[in-house]
Amino acid sequence: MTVDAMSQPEQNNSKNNDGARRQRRKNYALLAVLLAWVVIIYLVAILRIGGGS
Amino acid sequence: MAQTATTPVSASGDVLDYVALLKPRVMSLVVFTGFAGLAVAPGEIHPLLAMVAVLCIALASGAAGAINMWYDRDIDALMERTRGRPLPTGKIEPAEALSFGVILASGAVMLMFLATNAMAAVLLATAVLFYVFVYTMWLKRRTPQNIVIGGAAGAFPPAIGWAAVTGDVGIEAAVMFLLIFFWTPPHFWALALYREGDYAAAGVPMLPVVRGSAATKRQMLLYTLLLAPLSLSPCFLGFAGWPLYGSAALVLNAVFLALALAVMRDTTETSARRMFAFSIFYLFGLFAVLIADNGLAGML
Repeated sequence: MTVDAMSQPEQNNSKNNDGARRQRRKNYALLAVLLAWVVIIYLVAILRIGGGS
Repeated sequence: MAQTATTPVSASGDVLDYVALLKPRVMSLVVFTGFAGLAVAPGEIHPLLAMVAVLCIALASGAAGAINMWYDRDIDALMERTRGRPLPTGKIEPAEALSFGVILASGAVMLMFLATNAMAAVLLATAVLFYVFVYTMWLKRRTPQNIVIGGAAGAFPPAIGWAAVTGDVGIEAAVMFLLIFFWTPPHFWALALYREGDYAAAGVPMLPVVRGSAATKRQMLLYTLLLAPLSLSPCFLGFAGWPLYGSAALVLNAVFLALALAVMRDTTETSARRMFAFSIFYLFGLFAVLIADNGLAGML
């Protein structure tokens, strides 16, 4: 009973940490995608303006 | 709108769950055939713009897959093959999947227009809309001909690749379109033969569920027979040669036809599994030799 009571907050903490880690990974992935998007649009614009076909 | 069969406790999706939403295995075939369209088209395109065009085809294909998973989340939860997907397991919220798909599809079409031309962008948008509205929402749950008509969506990529270079759709693009169109029924029905129980449980009227396996096997053989002369038409039309493409196509068709006949005779699901696996190799092989043949012709 005592052990259960003590392990409950630890489990919650571990769940929260997992959730935060997953969210951080998603944020980094989104950042990478947005940066890639900006670079692609920039390169495409340069090529098209330069007459690249 | 489709209803969820399982209620997600919380959306705990990881980056990989979003990747799974894009149906990466389907995407690989779509990307390859799209690239083939680009590679065999006459004319010049800057290599970077060609890469962007292929990326757009990949993104649009993934987006269509994500929207399909959003709409089909109720039946996906009932089928063994699909119940592990991110929506039935509750890893991703339905609204997130839908917005992910819509944003990705819009971005892909817009980028295709910027990088190539209006024709390629229109074809890309048509493919996505056809897959979502015609196949997923209209046909899939209503008719055993769902994958025959709906299969047109998957046949667009080589035409899109071709249009990205030429700004037009020629007879060659139409032939590549038809190749995938006639390949889709035997490919999909081979899968449906050994997943019949899954489709029946979900109430999806696939041909083996509605008409039985004997009728399905006959139809598979018919489409395989139609595919054989069609796959040789690039040689007749002069955009592929006989020594490489023609001979490879003959061998691939002979094996595909032999497997279709084996499926007719086999009462177990072994031949259907074999035919499904080979059908993927068949399409990869056919388009690979088409690209190689064209590359070789360019060098000579």
